[in-house]
Amino acid sequence: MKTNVSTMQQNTPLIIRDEPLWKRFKKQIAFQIFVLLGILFMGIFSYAPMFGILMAFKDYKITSGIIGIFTSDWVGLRYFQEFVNDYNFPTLVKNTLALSILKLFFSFPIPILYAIMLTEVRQAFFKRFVQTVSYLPHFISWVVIVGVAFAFFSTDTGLVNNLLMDMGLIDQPLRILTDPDYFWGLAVSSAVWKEAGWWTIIFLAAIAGIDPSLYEAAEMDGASRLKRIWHITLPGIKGSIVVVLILSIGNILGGGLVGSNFEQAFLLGNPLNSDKSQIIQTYSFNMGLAQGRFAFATAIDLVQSIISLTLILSSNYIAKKVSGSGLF
Amino acid sequence: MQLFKLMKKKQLVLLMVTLVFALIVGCSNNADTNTNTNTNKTPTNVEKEEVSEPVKDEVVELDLFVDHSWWPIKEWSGPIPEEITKRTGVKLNITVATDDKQLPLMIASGDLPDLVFTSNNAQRLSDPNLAYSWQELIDEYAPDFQPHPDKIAVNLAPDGNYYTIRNNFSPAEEWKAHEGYALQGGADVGFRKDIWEQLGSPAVNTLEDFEKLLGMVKDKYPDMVPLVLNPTDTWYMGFFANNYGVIFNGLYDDNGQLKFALRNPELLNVYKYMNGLYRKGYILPENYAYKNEDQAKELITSGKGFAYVWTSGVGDRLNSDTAGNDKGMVFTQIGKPISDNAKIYRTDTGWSGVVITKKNKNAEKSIKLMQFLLSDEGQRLAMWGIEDQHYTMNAAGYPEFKFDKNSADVQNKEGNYWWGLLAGSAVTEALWNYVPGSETTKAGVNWTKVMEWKPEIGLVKAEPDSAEQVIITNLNTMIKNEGSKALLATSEQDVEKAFQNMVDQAEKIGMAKLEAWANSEYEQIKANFNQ
Amino acid sequence: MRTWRRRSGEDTVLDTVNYTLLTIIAFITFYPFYYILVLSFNSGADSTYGGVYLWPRTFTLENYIFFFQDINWLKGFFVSTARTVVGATMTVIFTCMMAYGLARNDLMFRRVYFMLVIIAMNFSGGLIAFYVVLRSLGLLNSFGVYVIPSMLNLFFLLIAISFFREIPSELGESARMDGASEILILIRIILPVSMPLLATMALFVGSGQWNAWLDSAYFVQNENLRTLTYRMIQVINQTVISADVGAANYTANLKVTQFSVQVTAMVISIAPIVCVYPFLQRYFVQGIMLGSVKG
Repeated sequence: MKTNVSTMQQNTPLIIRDEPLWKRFKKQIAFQIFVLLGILFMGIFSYAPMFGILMAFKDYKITSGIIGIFTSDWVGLRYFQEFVNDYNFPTLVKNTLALSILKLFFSFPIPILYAIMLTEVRQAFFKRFVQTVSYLPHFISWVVIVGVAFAFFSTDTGLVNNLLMDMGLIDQPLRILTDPDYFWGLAVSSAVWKEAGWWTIIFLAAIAGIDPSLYEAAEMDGASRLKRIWHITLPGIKGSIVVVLILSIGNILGGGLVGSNFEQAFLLGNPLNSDKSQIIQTYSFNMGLAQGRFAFATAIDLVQSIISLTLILSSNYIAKKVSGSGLF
Repeated sequence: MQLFKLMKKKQLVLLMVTLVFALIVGCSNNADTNTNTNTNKTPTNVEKEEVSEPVKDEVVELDLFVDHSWWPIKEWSGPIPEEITKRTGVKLNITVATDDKQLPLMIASGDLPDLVFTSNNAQRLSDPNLAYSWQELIDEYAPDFQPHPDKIAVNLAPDGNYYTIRNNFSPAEEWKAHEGYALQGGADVGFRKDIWEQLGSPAVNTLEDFEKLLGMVKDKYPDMVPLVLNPTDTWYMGFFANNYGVIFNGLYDDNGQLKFALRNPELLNVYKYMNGLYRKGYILPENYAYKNEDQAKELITSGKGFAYVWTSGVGDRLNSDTAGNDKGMVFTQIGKPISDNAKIYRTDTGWSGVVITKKNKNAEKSIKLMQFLLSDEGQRLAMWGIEDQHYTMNAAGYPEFKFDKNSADVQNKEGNYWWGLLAGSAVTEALWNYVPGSETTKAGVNWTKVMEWKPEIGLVKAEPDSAEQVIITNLNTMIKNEGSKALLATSEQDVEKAFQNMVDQAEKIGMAKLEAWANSEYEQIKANFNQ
Repeated sequence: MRTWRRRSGEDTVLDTVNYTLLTIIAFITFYPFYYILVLSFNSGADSTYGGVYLWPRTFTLENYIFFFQDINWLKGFFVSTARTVVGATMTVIFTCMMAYGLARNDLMFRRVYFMLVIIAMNFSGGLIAFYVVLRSLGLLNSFGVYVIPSMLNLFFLLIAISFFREIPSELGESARMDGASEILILIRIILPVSMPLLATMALFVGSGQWNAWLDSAYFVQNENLRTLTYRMIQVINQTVISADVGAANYTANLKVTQFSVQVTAMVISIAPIVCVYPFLQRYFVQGIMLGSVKG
């Protein structure tokens, strides 16, 4: 078995410890330029606009213009207090956390599993067909999905409820769209339905990068298919899995890999299931941007950014300890 | 550690880079008038304007931003806009908002177009740094332009100037002058005439009659949904609240004191009545989850629903929506209040108006354009069309149209109606809708009788970004969510409990604070308004 | 491609389970899409009667005509295609370039760079500040605003780094010995063996570009630069008058309904992606990467 392929991680070192700094730098100047160009780009398009974050601590009104971001009065943590003291704060936090964690738990493994299932298909046409249709939902906007959901799940005219009733599986139509108890399940499953096929593509690309000779060798050794998946496929895409997992955890408040917490709460949420469907993002939208209160929206965003950053750094740390690979 | 040191240095550099960028950005803000495409050629300075007085025939092109994303007309074309251009020397380049954030972004960045037509941001734009005060422009360029004092009063900004005159408002005397033809509707209920006749055409004069009628439908046609609600609360809550003579949200006058709607114990009865309809199985619970009115209307037009709560035009509109159906569906409507307590409180003070921004290329032509559009002649031209070509004026004082005025295709081609909304009064709009003998008209006559005008209450308006606005927004969300629990409660006690819960939540949100603020505003406004 | 020599009992069981599950998945993902396709060809008014599930009951093209009666859509189509092709190409190249540098474990200041990337990923100055930066760069109202600010995709930067780390180092070494420059090595050797990655990036970035409309609304005033999606959003918006409470009284009699227009917009925007995808799909076949190296 050919296992010890050296990769870029172990390539000929461009630095020797004792060399002076500038000399080491000069040796890897090409790589440094590649990276610094990117850093410069981020400086312009990511870091330069960050002066906008100032407004999270200021009594900023859009009518005061750009200069107002700098000149308006400091209000300290007023917006954060408004948020925390809101009558609905506990519900918002509870719903946001529950939805986010459930989504991460279900939406992360499914694309991986699905990618492996697809690579195990030998019938070429079937494989192509399944793969193509599975990513189609990604392009359907949430507005349309909600419309379709009403056509399928409504208690009165919905296709699914009618079918289930006709088959005698249920006596009462399921109040999927209005019962608060269904909301988290509905949100998680519809997000997985919409995005799992799409994210599978990433893992398919990673599997495509695995050396086929590894499989051939394993087969000669008489390893079963499950064993080959376990010992070759999964380790082969471990790097991608870890990166995607860490980034999903970082975006957990937005809904993880499949995202769309806001769209779902906004569109699938309604007064009837509001006990379970109100989340921080919809609150921030209603109280912030919808009212032209950019400062308030910025403050809430900032809280989420800090949480994300903390999550990414700590999960990266843990990933490196546990699996030996992380983001960096 | 070396790395740690490096990082600190890097962070310092980063901080500096950010600061430098912020500086550049801050400075370029002063210079950016050069890069702004809207303000390049003509001076906006008032004094210079006088020097370069434009030639009479010259047509000026002005950019108009319409802050209503659904606005269907995107070109200034057709005989009617052309006629307006001929009269005023102004041609408009139209941009329609794509979402609600677009105009706030323009305001913040200072890149405003010449004219903005807006409802949500009219208050914000009433700011001397962003827009011209109309009175200033009138004194300067159009001394013969005298907007109606009431129209000025309802648009006054806290600084005592007015920066727009919003449409869809008419002073009392204008209503008076067109009494009987300029009608205001409210919410109403349309229902299947064919089925109602099969049930023996029972009279619907009271809320109990209505409930009985729905019961008969339920008995005789168990597969039907007896009552469908339009998802907009103005209609579905409005109809029942109007019949009980209460409001379901906002402020009402209780012996000279403003109180929030939830303080009125009578509102509980509205919830109880509506909840009763639900518990008897006349309303689908899912109805309260609809967001888009097609979802509700679909139940009616597909023949599954019997009655539909909507505007006072409900009967005529449903008939036109189902024209040529093969199910024998015909619609009619209740068309009148069905309770002795019925009352509609109208607090509206206008809806959307044109603001002349400080970036305007030609303030003179702009104010003169508004002068024309606000004149009787201008309102009629812009909304109804060219007299004798598009409509003729009836001796009784309402227009008779010579074309299919409501067709989207016709409106696209002729350019009627929509531009009339830039400055059209409520009466001009009401006359546009007058069709002698129609169900809508009859409903309008009946509902107008129970209408009470309270524009002073409508003028108690929270400033954007204010603490009061936060309370109002919170109350709106809470009422929508908690209200649905009262509407769908399983027993009358539960309705009471849910209602009490709403009141408690409202207290937590700051209902009392809002009322205190509103009353202090109210005193001032009443003093101003009675002048 | 792999060949399987033995078919054991385990194989049969696995295959059965696998094929069954995939068939179910294919059905539940395909049917709602098919349903949308059917509705787009059915008269909007007729669809509201319900019960249209398998094929159009009242076949009509009026939903499509409603979109394409606007002669400007061709211009929008051109702009959208251009930004998709240019944008995807620029993003793939620029992102891979930075990733190639960061993939080296011995890169100096590596941790600082990573921290900068992670912070940039999570913090944003908001729309207003971003607008001002674009304005001071003179990017407003230009085609550049569609493709330049999105040139670096931080998510794919991290994916690409993990991908490059798996590439055998001897690939670049021999070229380096011959004195090839790093940029040449990247373009001639590394990128060709990373086709699955490039195809994935191009697909994700390209579809994002194709569906983008906010930048066209916020940052562009020139009618000639409006994208197809922007125009579609504007058409869809027309059908949601009821969204504005103040306007609840206004009606325009349309032949189409909000939902029929929305589903049609979906079909129009998906069509190009369905056409392009089969050409990219071959890059996701296993073994292509190392196969090309050895060949």
